[in-house]
Amino acid sequence: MDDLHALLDDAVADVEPADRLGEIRARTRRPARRPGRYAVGAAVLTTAATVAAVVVVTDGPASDPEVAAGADPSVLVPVYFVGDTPRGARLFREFDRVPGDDRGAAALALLQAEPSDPDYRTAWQPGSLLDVTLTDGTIVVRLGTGAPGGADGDLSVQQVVHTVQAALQSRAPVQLVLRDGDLVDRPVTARPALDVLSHVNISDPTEGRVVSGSFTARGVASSPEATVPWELRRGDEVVRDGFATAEGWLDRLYPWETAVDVSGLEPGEYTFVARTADESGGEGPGPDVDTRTVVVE
Amino acid sequence: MTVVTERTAWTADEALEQLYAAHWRRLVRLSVLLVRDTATAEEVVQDAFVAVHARWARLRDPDRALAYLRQSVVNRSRSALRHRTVVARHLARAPEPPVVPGADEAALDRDRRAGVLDAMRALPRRQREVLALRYYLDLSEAEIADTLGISPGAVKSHASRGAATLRSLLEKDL
Repeated sequence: MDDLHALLDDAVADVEPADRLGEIRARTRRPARRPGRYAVGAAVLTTAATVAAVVVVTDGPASDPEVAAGADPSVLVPVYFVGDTPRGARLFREFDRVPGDDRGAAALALLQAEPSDPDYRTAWQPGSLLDVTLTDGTIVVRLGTGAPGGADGDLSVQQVVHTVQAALQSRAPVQLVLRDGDLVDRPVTARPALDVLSHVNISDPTEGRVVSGSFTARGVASSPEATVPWELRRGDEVVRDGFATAEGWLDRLYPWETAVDVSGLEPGEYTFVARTADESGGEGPGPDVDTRTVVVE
Repeated sequence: MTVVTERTAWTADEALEQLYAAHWRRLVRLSVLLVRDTATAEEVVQDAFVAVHARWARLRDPDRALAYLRQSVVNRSRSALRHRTVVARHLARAPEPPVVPGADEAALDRDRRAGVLDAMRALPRRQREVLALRYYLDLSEAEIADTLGISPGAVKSHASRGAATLRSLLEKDL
């Protein structure tokens, strides 16, 4: 049976996990990372809790109830927020973890909460999105009060469409309905990624992540020649820079990844910047940019 | 004077640091064998470490804490799969780059590893868990039975069926 041993060892031999000790410490110091956000989500998530309880009971696994899978259920969902690019407002994606067991409800709660990245915004006020269901090939989102008008126009609708489609793992069109069930226009499909999304987006590090030694930055981009220039800045000073290479470009967003060495840097707050390559020589609108604050320990 | 017991050992924070230094990478790799996706595995194991910190007062012993961590990682990996966050991550991350003819050794390595991880994901859940604990973590049958809350007999049968299925899945790929 030594072959299986070698096989499994080898299968994960190239997995070098990012260092998360800083984040773990931050979470063990405080009970919740962003209490404000959770409070906003709580109302929406309450209804989900009763459903979740059933799921947990039907599949209770190991001996220790406190370790059982559903003991403190939380879900990680991608959420799209509005940010600025030289081409106008576009959508940026954040991954956020929310207590609860219902991906749809979690996604709506996050859409109505403050983004972690201060450069992003959302047009959806608390109470403006009530619930989401997928039935008969249509995703139905029920609107509450205070649904947006605003200058972002139908980008806020695309924000909901992209987010709930990702949360429910479905490309079904999204029908908005009023609280009393009246339909709002026709079902909306997701507009092409390159039209509505920023052409560069950082997934990791998350905003405010504590790093030491080195960290891995990851994201998606569609940038000329698949080149994604990045910088680590302290204030206006560039202390590290380099290029990541995405797995492709042009027709959609492709993943990129790069290691950033922060050893020898003074502890404190830095900004990690990723951008699209600008080949226009200043003629074009300029690059799309995404940033994250990191804390060097 | 109060009697000083074995609890003079570690505070929760110290225990967290020690356990993290010793087991973070290995546990993330264990979770990758179960959920396939590294980013999801990091989230899963991070949550397990937060949980073990909260429970340190009752565990107090590094070996028991490690057993708790293993169990927590297996359960949370299962939960992550159930909620299909992994699928979301995969959609977000996009597929592996296509293999070009004359691929270099690194690409072949990547393919072989992806093949094993795909085969693991194709196994029934229990078989996958037992194989990962048996052949990656080198746990005994009794330890696996404890971790999964099943009988040693069940461990044995899941292990032999899982090994057979994994081999046949991998042969098909060749």
